Amino acid sequence: MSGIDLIPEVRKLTPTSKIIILTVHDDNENVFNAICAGASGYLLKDLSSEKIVASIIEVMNGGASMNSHIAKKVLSMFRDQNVKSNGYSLSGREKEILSLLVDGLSKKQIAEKIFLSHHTVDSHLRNIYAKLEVHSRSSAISKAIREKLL
Amino acid sequence: MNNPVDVIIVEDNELLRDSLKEAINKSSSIKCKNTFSSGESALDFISSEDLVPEISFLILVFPE
Repeated sequence: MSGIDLIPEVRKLTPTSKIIILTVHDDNENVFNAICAGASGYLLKDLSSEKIVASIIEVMNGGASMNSHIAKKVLSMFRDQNVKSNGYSLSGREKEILSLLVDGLSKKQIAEKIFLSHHTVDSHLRNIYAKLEVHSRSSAISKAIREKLL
Repeated sequence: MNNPVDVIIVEDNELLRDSLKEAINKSSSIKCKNTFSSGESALDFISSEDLVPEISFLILVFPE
């Protein structure tokens, strides 16, 4: 039984307990799963015993304890999650153009279809690439499909 | 003075388990109530304990 598997079992038996995970794993999936399962702290094993004790006391006093490295990761995960849920803040027109890109239309065809100049479509595409943090048409299409942005 | 908060350690590495227990027991606010090498044995212990709900029972979970 892994530490993360143990969390819900312990919480069933003693719901008021605080649980701290101490591990060598710092990948997003483990951090996310532990926090979702109800861990109050997530520490990496490179901490000294004294720092671990200080972290236990912090959790005992109602805090949430994690290495700064893990805290950064959690913030980044929430930021990414927020960006995804906002669809990268694409405007209605940008979503429309991205959708046409996914359908396989060229810039010229997109311009003709939505009655815009080639130059304006180019400008929208540059904005779409910047918001999606990609540098090519194929990457934009791939991201749109993979992350179900449309 | 408040009673120290009980802590359980679940860690498969004996050396780490013991060094952590020692560090915890140096603190006046927390006390290592028990240590276990597996999650299963920790669950057996928790199930058998008559826990007072007001007491924070802080558990460290380490096994990989």
